[in-house]
Amino acid sequence: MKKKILSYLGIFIVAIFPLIAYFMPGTKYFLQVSIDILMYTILALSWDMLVRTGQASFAIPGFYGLGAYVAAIFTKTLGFPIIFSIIIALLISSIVAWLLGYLTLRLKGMYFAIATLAFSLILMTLVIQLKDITHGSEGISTITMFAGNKYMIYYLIFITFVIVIGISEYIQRSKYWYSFTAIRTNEQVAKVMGINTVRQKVVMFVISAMIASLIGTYETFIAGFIEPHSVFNLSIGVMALAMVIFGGIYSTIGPIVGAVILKIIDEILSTTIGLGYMIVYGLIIVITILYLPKGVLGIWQKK
Amino acid sequence: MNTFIQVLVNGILQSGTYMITTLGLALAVGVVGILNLAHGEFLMVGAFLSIIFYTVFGIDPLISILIVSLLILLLGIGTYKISLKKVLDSAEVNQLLLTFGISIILQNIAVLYSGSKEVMVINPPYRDLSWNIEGIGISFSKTLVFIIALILVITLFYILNNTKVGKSMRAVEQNRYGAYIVGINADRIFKIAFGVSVGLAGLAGVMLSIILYATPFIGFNYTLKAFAIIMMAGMGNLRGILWSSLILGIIESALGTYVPGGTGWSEGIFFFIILIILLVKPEGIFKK
Amino acid sequence: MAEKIILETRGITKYFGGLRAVYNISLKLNEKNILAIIGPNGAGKTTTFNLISGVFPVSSGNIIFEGKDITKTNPAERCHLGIGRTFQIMQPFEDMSVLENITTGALFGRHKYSLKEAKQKSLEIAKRFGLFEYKDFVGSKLPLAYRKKLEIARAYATSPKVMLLDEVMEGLNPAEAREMIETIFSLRDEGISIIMIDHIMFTIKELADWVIVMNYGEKLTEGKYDDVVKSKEVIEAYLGKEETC
Repeated sequence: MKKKILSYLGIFIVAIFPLIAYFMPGTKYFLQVSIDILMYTILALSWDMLVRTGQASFAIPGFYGLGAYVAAIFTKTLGFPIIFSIIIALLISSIVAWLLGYLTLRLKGMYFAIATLAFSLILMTLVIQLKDITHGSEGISTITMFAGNKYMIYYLIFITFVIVIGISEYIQRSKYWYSFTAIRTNEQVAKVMGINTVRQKVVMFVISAMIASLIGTYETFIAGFIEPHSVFNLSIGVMALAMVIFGGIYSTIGPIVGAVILKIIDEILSTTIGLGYMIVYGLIIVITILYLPKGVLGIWQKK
Repeated sequence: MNTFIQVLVNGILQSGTYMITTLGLALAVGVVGILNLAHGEFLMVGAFLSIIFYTVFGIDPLISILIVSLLILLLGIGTYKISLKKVLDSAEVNQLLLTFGISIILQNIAVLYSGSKEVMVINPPYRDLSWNIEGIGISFSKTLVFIIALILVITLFYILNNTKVGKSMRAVEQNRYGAYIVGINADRIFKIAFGVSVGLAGLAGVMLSIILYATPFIGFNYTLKAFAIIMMAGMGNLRGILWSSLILGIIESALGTYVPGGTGWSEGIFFFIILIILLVKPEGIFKK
Repeated sequence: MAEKIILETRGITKYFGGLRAVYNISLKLNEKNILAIIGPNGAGKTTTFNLISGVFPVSSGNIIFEGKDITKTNPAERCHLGIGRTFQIMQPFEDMSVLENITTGALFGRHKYSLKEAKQKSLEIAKRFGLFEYKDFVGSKLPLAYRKKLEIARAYATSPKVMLLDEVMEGLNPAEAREMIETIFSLRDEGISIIMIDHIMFTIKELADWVIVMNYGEKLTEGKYDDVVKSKEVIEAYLGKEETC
């Protein structure tokens, strides 16, 4: 019960945050940072939901970049309205994810991780090389941006955030918690227990990919400019999974806590240390895995 | 015709560094059972150390190669002791993420060191020497590196087949549990194997510093390339690694020559090979 | 008494690469009967279970369940039809309590209970198999006898018509073995047909209506327990070679 109140309180604070920020100096900066935090929270959650089925994927940058580029090409080159481009990006990502999900189904552990990593890097190579469509490594600029101010963008992402939390919590409280945990810990036994492991793994892979892709499209319309090395950047995936590991894997609250703390640290360090600040991510990942296998939440919470 | 022979020569010479790097990674995957995502970063550190030895102390890479690989071997053993050893029984995801974390740490130490310098290069006097045989250019330094690689490969195969440590490693690789029963001290073997594994990467890094350049970010691609070669050879097939390195080296050099903008594709090709082999023939192409 | 066949295999065969693991195994399981498969280690007993439960596809042969050919179905579909199995190497789901393990079976088994029903069921099942006091334990931390019980309880939760029990007696002390025998009889009395793999002769003598002896992947002989143990081939192939407790 206490937990429930706390989580509603948390969402309430996130909801009214822009109002608080409005009265602070440097509002714009705070809003931008909180938009970033929300976007990373969503990415982290999408990775966590997938890893609950035992699939530790490195495909986040791939789908993030795919979403960003499809959105950019459809809006800038083909002149589609933003909302339409987003829908097409989601559609294409889901088809690609469905195919990739089926193809990589048999792979486990490092083989799955490497295959999805290879997927991300192949997409990046394609985007850089197919210059006629993508403008190569120069990227695409002056893309139509989201109309409206930062507040509206904040609330658009906030709504997405709430929906993704909803999906994550639904999985945690429904029969899917049982099947995902079963698939993750022993897929063979899960099958014999009547669980359609193929369908569940692929569906989760597609959902997770669509979320990453959606955030990619947001990036396009927030920045108005994209280039391959930034949207297919492996560090997007690294940060998302560091947030999950650090906050507490296989939960909804863990990735959120991880994303908030790490993104704030990130914000401070990237301005103070500058180049090389990512070392902190490396240290956090290593220390968490060695000493806090359940993340920071594991310190005061059991199960 | 000349172009074709040039492509072959370049490809073959390039494959030497791949062989060394990949044999190293294969040891870690095969013996310790962990895909070390930081493998390429140890290579990068090797290249950096070689460059530092040359620019700061004036020691030629051909001499520092021994010191550097020994240093990296020790670094590897240290890394094993304080981190990897603790996750040997953990979920594979954790092992992967741990080595990934290590790779980020090493990469950013290098970033902090090199600062704004984008590329680090050294110019030992023999760097740009080359023979010209019937219109085909053969780089002296690349040949040198290739010969060092061959000597190493032969030594390594000899050690694995004929010494006690080598045999134990192969025993562990073939049957973890069985090796445990016959009293092989697995922890000691893991420690040595991991040390040698990254030591080889460091060595390849020094070789690389002679013929190419170094940035903090060169490592990850080498990890992936090495993994592509292992996949192509099939897990546990050390001999296949030599063939696969050769083939990929030549493909890479051919792409660079024959396809416009081909060097841009070459990395994509490696990843494509990884993906296809994983999906179609996970046991590798050269596996009997 | 005319008995109804619930499960039948017709010449099922399994090759791994060039290796023949199981060859031409035909068996018939009558409704509410207990069929025992015995044989030395490596005889292909567990592989036969894997073929029947669909963990591996057969190389050739057919599997008939309640008159329907189920050879081409996957393990989940076979579970939904009513084939439940336990594993010799006990494999409780990590990260799950005993109760949650059982709930998983109830959720995705033949009846596909809703979460609320499944939780209710799993409590009943935990009580029925004497696991109630351990219900919140993590599966892997249970004592051996209780892990065996959990294997059975979890398979039972899928509401099977046929249960495949893979060495559920192994490693139990006499008192625990006695309890297990009673448990198996109670399952049979409930209408579940059972195939069990076992090494322990006295339990087979007591439990089995029919015995199949396997060796080197093939069926050596079959019959009533008393006839089978007297057969010369069996004594040579199995009893002669291996200690039986």
